[in-house]
Amino acid sequence: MPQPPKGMSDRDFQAALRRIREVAGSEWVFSSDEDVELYRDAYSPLWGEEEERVASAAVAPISVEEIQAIVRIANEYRLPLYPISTGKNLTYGGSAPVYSGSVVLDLRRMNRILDVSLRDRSCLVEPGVSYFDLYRHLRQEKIPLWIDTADPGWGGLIGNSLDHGAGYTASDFRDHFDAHCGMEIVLASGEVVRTGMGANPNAKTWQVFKYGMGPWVDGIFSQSNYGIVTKMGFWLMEEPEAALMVNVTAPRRQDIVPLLDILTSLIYSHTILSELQVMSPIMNGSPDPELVRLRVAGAGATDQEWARYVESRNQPCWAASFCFYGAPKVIAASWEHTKDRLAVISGVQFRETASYTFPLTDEQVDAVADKPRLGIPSLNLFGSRNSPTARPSEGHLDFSPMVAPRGEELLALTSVTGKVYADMGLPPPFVGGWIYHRRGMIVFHPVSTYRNAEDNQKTRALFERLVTACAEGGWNTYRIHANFQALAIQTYGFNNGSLHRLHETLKDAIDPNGILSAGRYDIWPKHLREKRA
Amino acid sequence: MPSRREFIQRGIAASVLAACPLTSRLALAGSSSGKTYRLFKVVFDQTFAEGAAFGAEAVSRGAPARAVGSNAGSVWMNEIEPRWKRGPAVIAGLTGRASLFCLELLARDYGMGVVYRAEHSPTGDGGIRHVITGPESLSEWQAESKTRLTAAGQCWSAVAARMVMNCPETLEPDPSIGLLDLAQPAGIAGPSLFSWVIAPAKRPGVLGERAKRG
Ligand SMILES: Cc1cc2nc3c(=O)[nH]c(=O)nc-3n(C[C@H](O)[C@H](O)[C@H](O)COP(=O)(O)OP(=O)(O)OC[C@H]3O[C@@H](n4cnc5c(N)ncnc54)[C@H](O)[C@@H]3O)c2cc1C
Repeated sequence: MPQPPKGMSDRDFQAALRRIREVAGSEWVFSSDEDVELYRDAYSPLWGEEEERVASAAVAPISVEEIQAIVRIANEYRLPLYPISTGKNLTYGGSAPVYSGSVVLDLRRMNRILDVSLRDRSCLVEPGVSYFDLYRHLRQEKIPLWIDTADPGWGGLIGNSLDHGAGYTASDFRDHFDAHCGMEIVLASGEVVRTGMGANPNAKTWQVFKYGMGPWVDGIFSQSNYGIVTKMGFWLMEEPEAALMVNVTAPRRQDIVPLLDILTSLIYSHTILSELQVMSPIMNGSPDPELVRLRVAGAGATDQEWARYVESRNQPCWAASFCFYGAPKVIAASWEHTKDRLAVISGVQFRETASYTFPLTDEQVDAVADKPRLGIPSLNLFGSRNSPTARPSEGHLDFSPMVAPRGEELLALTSVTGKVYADMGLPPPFVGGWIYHRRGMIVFHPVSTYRNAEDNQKTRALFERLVTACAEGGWNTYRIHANFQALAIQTYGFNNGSLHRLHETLKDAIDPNGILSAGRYDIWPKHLREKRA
Repeated sequence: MPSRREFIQRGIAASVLAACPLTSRLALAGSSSGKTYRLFKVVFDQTFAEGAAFGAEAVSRGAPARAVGSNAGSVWMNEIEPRWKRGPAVIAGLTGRASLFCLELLARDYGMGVVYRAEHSPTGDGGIRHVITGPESLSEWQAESKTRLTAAGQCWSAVAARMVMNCPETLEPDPSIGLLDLAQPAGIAGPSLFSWVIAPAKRPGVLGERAKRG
């Protein structure tokens, strides 16, 4: 049988579950081994080890009232709860709690799309609404609005945004927390709060204006454990007339500096609105000895040495891909202007990879190769690793440091991480930057996880070194797997960790019994904090 | 216009099919007596020659088969999930590892589970190894099916298609079959393919008709 949380007697645990069954109905309380197995993190870097974070049970309420009642019971027994929305947070912890023994508060049954406003280009949803659900609804109802989806469409708007997830369409929508407008939260006390204009019971502008009046508190409910979010509003993108996907390549290693400078200028001046990716076909090529030598040498390798290597491969050193949205005339002008600006890079090449006019038929939707850039949810990223030629991937963790979108930064960071990989006897990591957020670039490093302890131990050691080495270089991760949240928060240690102390002060005030998501982003309730110290 | 890759794959598929003209007369796995699962959808990855052959066999036997390429996102969004929202329905297929991983994970939300999964992996010397994972009660059926898969040589995928179509209803999803491991085990010469059946499990899901407001 699953174990109750540490320090809680089995009698109290069973009594709490009994009370919760009375509230939610016994068929919605899951407490067998088989049940708990379903909430394991399939990508856990601690898979099968004693420290793997596992739930003790789960409950799936259907309403805010049920959540309120469950929270009150949890307070009585000091029962730790771990709310999830769609529960697909693979690479960052799956649906497993951070604190073992927590009861997962599974909100997937609360999956109503409460409102879609065509005129305000917004929606209001419950936690269980997945990207697939909302996309299907918009298409069925022929509503010409786009969602912005994370790569796997099985995640959902609320869970993803609360973990600071991101997508691929226009800049107003990609940073999912930034694109939300208004929340409803059940606090640890059981009280329900609405933020922004939603605090007016007669509000007509809950999904129109974010701030309401007074301090804007929404931010404290993301990457935290201060409340259970039960509704959120999001802004949606108006379906454009057309889209053009393009690719730009630049030949030399040092071209990354002007390439990113010009592309970011085009982003900041709103010529390019879509998510933009830049990668190095050369550096990500199969790691022959010369490539490994150059990569490990980092700043020690000269432009001439790189030039010789690049020439021998007959490939451009950099490839950037992005997309234009709008009326065909506007797209054509934006693309022309982009080409004019980039023409200063000698040898730059331009390619149009796909163009679309909307709305698409179902067959056209199916045929879109790069679905997320058109707001189409899919599972393509899993499939692409499944082609006849590719090796299927393991599970992985995303090491995701944030850098300023500058060429020098991309090179400097990947030379630091390249050294970490080399010191551990591993081939150099992937070199690429993703501009999801308005001003930052994420340099993903996928780090494989396994179903065996020996390999996972190496994975954890690598991951820890990456976190530390990058933080020393001034680059922090923007989001991280539950297993490394404590380490990552330490790297945000200005003034002896004053930010973390503020997080704890808030926790003590809002959730004095520490019943919600203990340990998430290293925010522990007092009684567990002291034991951990 | 088919892409170059599609063209080559179709060519290979055609050659596999041509090499297996007697599929219908092969000694085929499956229960001839007793009730078999009624399949709502049979999906196959036609980008593999064996997937295309599996699909052709399923179609020729009247299965509601659907080519899904190397990812199951579209069939999930447009067909399987809308169906499961109304109630359970049995699906089966021959796909790569990642597609099956996704479908297994999603199936759990709807109270569906794997009845069996057969892993078909190249051995490196031109052969194929078949490993069937399923409930205890499967053992006899499993042993028999494995023999037939092996005996079919390069025509194994047609046998696999018959297996999924003839899967006895008495075989139920076994909760002890854990989620498929995304990592390909060491020592396998190339990507494995999986034939499988997903059916209603004893443990109900969090989603689906049952989960709605009362
Ligand atoms: C191949 C692959 C590609 C990926 N690509 C992307 C990508 O493009 N973009 C991206 O952002 N991510 C990506 N991810 C990471 C991740 O899988 C997604 O972000 C996913 O959407 C998160 O899961 P979810 O939406 O189901 O959120 P959930 O798992 O429901 O929520 C995440 C966390 O938020 C908290 N939480 C959730 N709901 C509530 C609530 N109601 N109240 C309080 N706290 C709550 C919980 O702590 C929970 O663990 C990728 C993962 C993989 C494996």
